[in-house]
Amino acid sequence: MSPHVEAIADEFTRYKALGEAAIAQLDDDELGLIGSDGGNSIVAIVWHVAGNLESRFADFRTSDGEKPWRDRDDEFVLRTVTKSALLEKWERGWRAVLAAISELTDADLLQPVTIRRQQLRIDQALQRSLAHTAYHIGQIVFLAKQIRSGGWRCLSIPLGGSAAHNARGADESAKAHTRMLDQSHSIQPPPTTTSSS
Amino acid sequence: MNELLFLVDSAYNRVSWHGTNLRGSIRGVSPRQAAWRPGRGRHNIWELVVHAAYWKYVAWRRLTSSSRGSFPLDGSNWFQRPQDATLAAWRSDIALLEQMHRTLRSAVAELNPRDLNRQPAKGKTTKRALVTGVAAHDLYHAGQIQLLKRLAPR
Repeated sequence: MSPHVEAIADEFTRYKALGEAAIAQLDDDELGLIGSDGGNSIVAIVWHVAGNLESRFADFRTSDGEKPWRDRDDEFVLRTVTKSALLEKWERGWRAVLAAISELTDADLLQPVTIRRQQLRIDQALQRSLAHTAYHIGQIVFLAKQIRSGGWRCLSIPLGGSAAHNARGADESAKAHTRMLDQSHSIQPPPTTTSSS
Repeated sequence: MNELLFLVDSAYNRVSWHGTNLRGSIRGVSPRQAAWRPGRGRHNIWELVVHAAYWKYVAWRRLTSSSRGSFPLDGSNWFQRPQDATLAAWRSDIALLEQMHRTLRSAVAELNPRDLNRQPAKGKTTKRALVTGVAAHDLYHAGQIQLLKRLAPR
């Protein structure tokens, strides 16, 4: 993979692992909980992130990123789902973006794509999507931590562990972080299914 | 370098399509809101701000391979806040975040395009990956600050 594309792919993968490590700590009936502020549940955010990724990256280079079949408002509708169903939806979105990125080289990054009828370069579209995804995964982690409370397993450097971490000269690359999350929060991905696109 | 500057600025304080960025997320936040914790042992907005400032500093140091200068606060990664729950102390930490962002973006502006895919002397990621990562880090925490603001008493 080309270096520029690889840097972006690694960051996407880091945030995917963070989201999964947070979701892994919750039970089915906790995923749809809505906070006292009436905000979105983890289910709604997952539906939104996955819906966005699937729409943006299905036929990424040949069609508008906002697909006619996407119903954005429906992503935020209250729904009760199992963790398995949630992860199936999640994976559909992530398969779309990671497959699209895997076909790119750095030479492609200045080529145009269209999102909501606006022409962007591929590198711009990828960075916009990464920004959107990181923002919402921050919220998924926050909500999961709020729900799990005392039993939460840390997803980064544990509180009070910074000095030891620094002294070790630990690898802080996105790849290393993803590996750490994958090892400590192992979850079974749902079976592969065909994307609706 | 315009693209990388655009990236770090969009995540921090430049109007961007994806909505609230880190600086926007703390606009108008009072010291009381910033100090509020959603639970025991949980970080507040104030701590997220100083944490983001620290990682901008780390990214700057790695991009420049600088041995000069140190983060103005003792410690690393997470800093217990508030030490002093006043408006002045809150503004001082926001100023620290601003300063670290300005320092980081200066380093990004000076990057040689030919070096972007090289690893800094002591680093394990490329300079491009560092910049991409620190921008995403701002937004990751901006999303959390938006939730904290909804929960915190005004």
